[in-house]
Amino acid sequence: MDVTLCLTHACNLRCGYCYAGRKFSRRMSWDTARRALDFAFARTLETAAKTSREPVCQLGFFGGEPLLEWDLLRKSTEYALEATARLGIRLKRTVTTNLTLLDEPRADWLRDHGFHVGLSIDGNATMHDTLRRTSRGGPSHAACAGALRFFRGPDANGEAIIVLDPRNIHHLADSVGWLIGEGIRRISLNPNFTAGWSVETLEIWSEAYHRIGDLYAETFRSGDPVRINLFDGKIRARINGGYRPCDHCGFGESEIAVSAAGFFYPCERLVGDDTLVDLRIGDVKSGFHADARQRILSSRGNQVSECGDCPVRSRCVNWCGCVNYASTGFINQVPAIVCHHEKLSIHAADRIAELLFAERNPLFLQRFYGHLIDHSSVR
Amino acid sequence: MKVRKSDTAANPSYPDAKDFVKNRGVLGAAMLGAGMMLGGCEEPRRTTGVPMRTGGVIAAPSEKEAEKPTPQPPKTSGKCSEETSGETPRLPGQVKAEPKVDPPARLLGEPMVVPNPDSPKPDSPRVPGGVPSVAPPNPEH
Repeated sequence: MDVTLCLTHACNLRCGYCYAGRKFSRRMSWDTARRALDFAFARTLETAAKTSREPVCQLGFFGGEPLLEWDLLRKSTEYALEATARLGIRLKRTVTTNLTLLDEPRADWLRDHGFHVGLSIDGNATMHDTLRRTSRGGPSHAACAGALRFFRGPDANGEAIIVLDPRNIHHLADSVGWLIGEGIRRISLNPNFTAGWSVETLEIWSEAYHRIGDLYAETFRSGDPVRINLFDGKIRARINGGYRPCDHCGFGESEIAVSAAGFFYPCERLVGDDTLVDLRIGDVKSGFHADARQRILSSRGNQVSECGDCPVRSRCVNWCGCVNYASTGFINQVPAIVCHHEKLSIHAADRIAELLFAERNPLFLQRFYGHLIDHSSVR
Repeated sequence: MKVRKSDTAANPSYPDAKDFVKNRGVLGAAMLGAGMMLGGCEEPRRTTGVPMRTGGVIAAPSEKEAEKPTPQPPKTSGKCSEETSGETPRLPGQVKAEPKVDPPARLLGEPMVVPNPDSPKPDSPRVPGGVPSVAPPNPEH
C-alpha cells in the first residue's frame, strides 16, 4: 500500500492554484505518523500474502510544505526504513517540496536516503512568479531556483513539477527550455484542470506543447535526452497497447493519504484543509471505515458515455478520481478539459515519436523499446 | 466545453510492442549503438565484433538471426505483469500518467543486457534488509 503523509497544513508560499486548502498551523504528531506507517505496512503485507507478490510500499511526504516539518520527516523515514527492513517490505520514498527550505545538507540527506524529490517550480522567473508567491505576496523564484543545483543531470533524484494555468501558460515553452538549460532532466507538466480555460488560452496551450515537443526531440538528437511526463507517458501507453489496470492510481484501495489530524483520504490531492468529510475513508485510530471506503471504491472509473467509442480512450487518463472530483464534483465524471488535454497530449507525443522513430534515433529506441530487445538477436 | 469525439489518429506510425518485436532484429542494432553512445554496459562477448551502426542506418539481420524462430510478441496489452520496472514513482500531488514498463527478461525469456534507462533512482538504492530492486538484472554488474 502506498501512503502519503500530509505533515502540515502550513506553507510559506501562497500559490494561486493551490488545491491544498487553507493554510494553518496544524501539524501531524509523531503518534499519528507512526500509526499511519504501521497501518500501511500491515496492509502491504496483507496484500502481498493474498497475491503472492513482493511487498512494496511507497511512502510520500506532502503538505502544506513538508520540509517545514523536517524533523518529523526524518524521524518517520528512519522509522519506516527500520520497520520495512524488519518486515521484508521494499520501501520507495518520495517528497514534494517548494524548494525554499532545501539546503545542501537536506538535499544530501534525501539523496542518501533514496528519495525521489518533486521540485515544485514553474520554470523561469516570469512564469514561476506569476502564481507562486510568498505569504507576503512577493515573488519566490529566487528562493527556489538555487536549490535546482542539487538535481542536475540525468541521474539526479529530482523532478521539476510545473503547474500549468491560464494565467501562466504564455510562458510554458520558455520555462521548459529554461529548466533544460539549468540541467534538469525530468520535468512533469501538471495542468490546473479546475481553472477557467478560454479559447485563447487553450490555443496557447496547444502551441506550447508543440514547441515543447520540439525541445524534447532536440535533446534526443543532441545525446542528452530529457524526460517529460506527458511525452514519455503517452508514447509508452501507445507501445504498451494502452494504460493497463496496474497503471492506474491506487485511489483508496492500494493508496491512501493521511491528513495531519490522522484522517485517511483516497489521494493527497483530496485532503485539502481536511474538511471534506464525505471523502474520508478511515483514520489512524480505527483503520478503514468500511462503508465510506466502499462507497468511494465503487464510484471509481469514468462513466461519461460519450467516451465509450473514443479511439484514444485506452491512452486517456480519465480515471483520476481527484481531478474528476475537483472539476465535476464526481469521482467518475471526467471533465471536458481533461478530454481536450489528453487529445492534445497524444497528438503532441505522437508527432514527436513518429519523427524520432523515423530517424531511428538510438536514444529514443533505447528508452521506449529497450525493454523489448534481446541482444542475442541483433547480430 | 463539450466532450467531442476524438479527431486524433488512433494508430500513429511508430510501432507498438507487438510490431516492434516482429522487427526487433533490425531495430535492435540501432539500439545497441545507443548503448555505446551512453557508455552503457553491454556484455562484451556479445558485442565484440558485431557490426553496429548508430547513424540511422540499420544493419540487416544475420543468417543466424534469420534462422531463429519468429519471436512471440510480449503480452503487454491489457495485462499487468506481476512485477514491473522502470516506472517513475508518482510524486505526492501529481496525476499518475506514466505507464509501467514490462520487464523484458521475462517477456523474451533471456537475460537483459542493456541497462534499462527508465529505472528511476528510488528503485536503485536497496533498503537494508529489503529485497533487491525489480529493475532488470544486468549480468555485468
